[in-house]
Amino acid sequence: MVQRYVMSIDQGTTSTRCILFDARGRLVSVVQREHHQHFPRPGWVEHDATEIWRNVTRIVPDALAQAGVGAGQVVGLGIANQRETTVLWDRRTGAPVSRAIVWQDTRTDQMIEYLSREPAAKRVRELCGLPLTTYFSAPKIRWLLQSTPGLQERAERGEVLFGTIESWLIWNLTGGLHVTDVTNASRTMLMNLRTLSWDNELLEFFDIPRAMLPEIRSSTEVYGTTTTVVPGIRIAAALGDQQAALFGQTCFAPGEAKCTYGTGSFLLLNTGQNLVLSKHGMLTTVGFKIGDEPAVYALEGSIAVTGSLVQWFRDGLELISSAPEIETLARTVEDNGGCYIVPAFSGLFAPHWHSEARGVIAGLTSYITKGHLARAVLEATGWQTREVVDAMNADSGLALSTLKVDGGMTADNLLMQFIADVLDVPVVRPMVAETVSLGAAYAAGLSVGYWPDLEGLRRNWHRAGQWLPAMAPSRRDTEYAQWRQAVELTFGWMRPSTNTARPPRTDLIEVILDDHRQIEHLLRELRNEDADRTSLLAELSAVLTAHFTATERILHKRVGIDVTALSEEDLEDAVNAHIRDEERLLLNELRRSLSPSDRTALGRAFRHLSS
Amino acid sequence: MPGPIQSIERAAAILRLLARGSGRLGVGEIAESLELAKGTAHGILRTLQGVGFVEQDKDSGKYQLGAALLHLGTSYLDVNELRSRAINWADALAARSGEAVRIGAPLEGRVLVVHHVFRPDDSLQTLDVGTLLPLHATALGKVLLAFDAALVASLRGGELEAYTRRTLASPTAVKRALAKVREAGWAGELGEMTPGEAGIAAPIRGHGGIVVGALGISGAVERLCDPDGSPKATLLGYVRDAARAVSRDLGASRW
Repeated sequence: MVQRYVMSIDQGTTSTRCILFDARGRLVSVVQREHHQHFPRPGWVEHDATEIWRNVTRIVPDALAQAGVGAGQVVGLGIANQRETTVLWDRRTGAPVSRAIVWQDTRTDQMIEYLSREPAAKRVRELCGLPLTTYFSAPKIRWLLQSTPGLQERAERGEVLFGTIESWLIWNLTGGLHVTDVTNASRTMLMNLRTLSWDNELLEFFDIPRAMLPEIRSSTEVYGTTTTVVPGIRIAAALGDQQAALFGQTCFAPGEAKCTYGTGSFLLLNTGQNLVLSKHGMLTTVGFKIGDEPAVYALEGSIAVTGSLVQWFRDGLELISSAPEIETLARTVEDNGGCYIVPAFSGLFAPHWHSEARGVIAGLTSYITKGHLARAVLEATGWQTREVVDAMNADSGLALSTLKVDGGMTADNLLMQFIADVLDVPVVRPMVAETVSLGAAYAAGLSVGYWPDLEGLRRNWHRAGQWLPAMAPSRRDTEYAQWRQAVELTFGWMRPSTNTARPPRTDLIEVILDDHRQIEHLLRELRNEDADRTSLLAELSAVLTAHFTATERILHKRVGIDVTALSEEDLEDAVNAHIRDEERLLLNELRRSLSPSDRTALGRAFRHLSS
Repeated sequence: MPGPIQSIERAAAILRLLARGSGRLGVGEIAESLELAKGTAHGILRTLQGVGFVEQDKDSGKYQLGAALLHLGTSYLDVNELRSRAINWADALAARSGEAVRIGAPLEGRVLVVHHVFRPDDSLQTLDVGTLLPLHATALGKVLLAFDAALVASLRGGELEAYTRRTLASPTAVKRALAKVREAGWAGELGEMTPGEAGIAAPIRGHGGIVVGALGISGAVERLCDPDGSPKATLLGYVRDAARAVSRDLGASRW
């Protein structure tokens, strides 16, 4: 009998891998190629979509050759891909209109700042489950359309197409099929999470023409057949990489979760057909959708600093020479000696959301050695996982029963045991470490009937190792309390500068803009639950009253906002509308109509009244 | 007992000379300083270069101390590093063989279990990373003994415990078995630790071929062995392939 195999392509942020799996889900061949990272400006990250496609055309035949397998023996291809990365290409020539903007790219931060002041911004999260930040595709598309002359019109005519990476690969493999899978679509900020279709309100909000978008399809279905590279292979599944890992870890039922421990870490919890909007800043996303069955949703929590804390310990402090040695060093002591490290290197993310926080090493005494510090480094990953799991349990009403783990840090036994201890659930490592590729292969195999059902896939999944909780509950509680105390120490470290170093600005436009930024800062502070709200409200009220008075007297413009009469929420809306209108219309007009000397004179007068 | 070996004395002198000067030295300068024939100095330098103790600058052709010499005191491999480097190969071995996989390294005259992959049948198993096993009664231990004379010396003092009636309990029997392991490049275990349990292990080699650990599978005798008690050829092949793959990753080029 001729052996048959499933093929997966994992198109990741730094490399692309093609892996063949056999009927028992075991690796048969692996071929990998890296692609270039382009950093044209600070904060910008780009990939050449053509280079990625060229790599695919090489690794697919190589993977077949390595295993001595013909295309006829491949039952289907599954694609997993880096999420959110945005490619725009010409429908006629198939050539990208520019380099792809990668998920990490932050060029759209000002656009996000501006968009978040729109009244409709509140609706974004409700509709697509994602917070308005730079990671997702919609702002990247907007940026490309805005910055390339004529592109908006071409997109409206359907001459320019958008796709995340799996769309781009399917388009090329099939010679022109323009589709996306629902998990990838759920990362664009343009898809309605309930209807699983492109949402008019979101398209309008980001001003993105529908004609450029791919058709949204299930994660597992045969989209088409390859016509090039190795023709005749059915493309049977596509998933975003973290969702593919969820699938590869066979987290098919509500309450099942996986965490991938790398530089940063991604925890996804299956919430079944129940779409949970988080109150703690987790993302809501589509986990997978099998054929015509209803979509399965997931909550996603990311931890910014996990493996990178170990790297810092190695490269920044030079206390170890390789990452795995941290376990050796940590085992030279019995416990953390009362020392805690909170790695808020660029603020604290979910579930705290303090961008002004910065990291601390707390509990230092002369007793502390580098061994204790090593423990504290590993424990930081454990406690951060605990915080995300607690938030997810609270959001979903589900109680996590087991955590399935993958990624490089799973080689650290001390860490895995600690995670089991602090979560108080078993932590399980699967035998196939390549969970992303395996997930794509599972989905494709399921789609073409190579594997009969989800139970069949579960039988393929094997435990390679398991860590059982062994920490006394009282110790867990005390340690967690200590950790939270350390976390609180990080809050409020970065204070916005109060411009003491700089002489006060006198240009009218700049004076008004300074006022606006100060007002926005106060509004943001009010959203922080730990803030001293009474004094903040008093300060806001004083600043607003002075600013509006100056606006009415100097600019002769009626503001019409009664600071004392409005509710906090209405006041915020009205103030945001005032700022938006003024910056869009009035300030631009003043820039054109006023002479520099007028601007300085009026600026002085405005500042005098408003401060 | 033979006298000192001249060429080794000369090699040591060359290393001292290179360590003393701040810059690099040419072969002529070295030969002059030590009053050696240029050809002799050159031969010794080439040999030292081969083991990484000196390096030759490509442009000037001059010699300096090599990186391998600087790491001489730290050539031991951290066991957590070993696990991290071997983990994917160990998983693949468990998946292919269908048996539990362990990696062992020597610690205080015993085998420290550095890594353990469950047998892929989802039966109840517990991780025994950190457990210590006897050297003389396990396949992992016999591999470690076969390539480490100092470790064999550690056995001499103590009694060899007989865990089963098959355990090699006399130093002579162990010595004979180790000679076979060295010759074959792998070690077997047949009911020597636990009745009915067998094991197959092969060496993991690091830089320069030094054995840094042992990788093996273990399980029921009837699954691992042919009726005559020898390991099944396919399983032995899997174990040796996996050990070689890890060794290659660790920089042991010839194995």
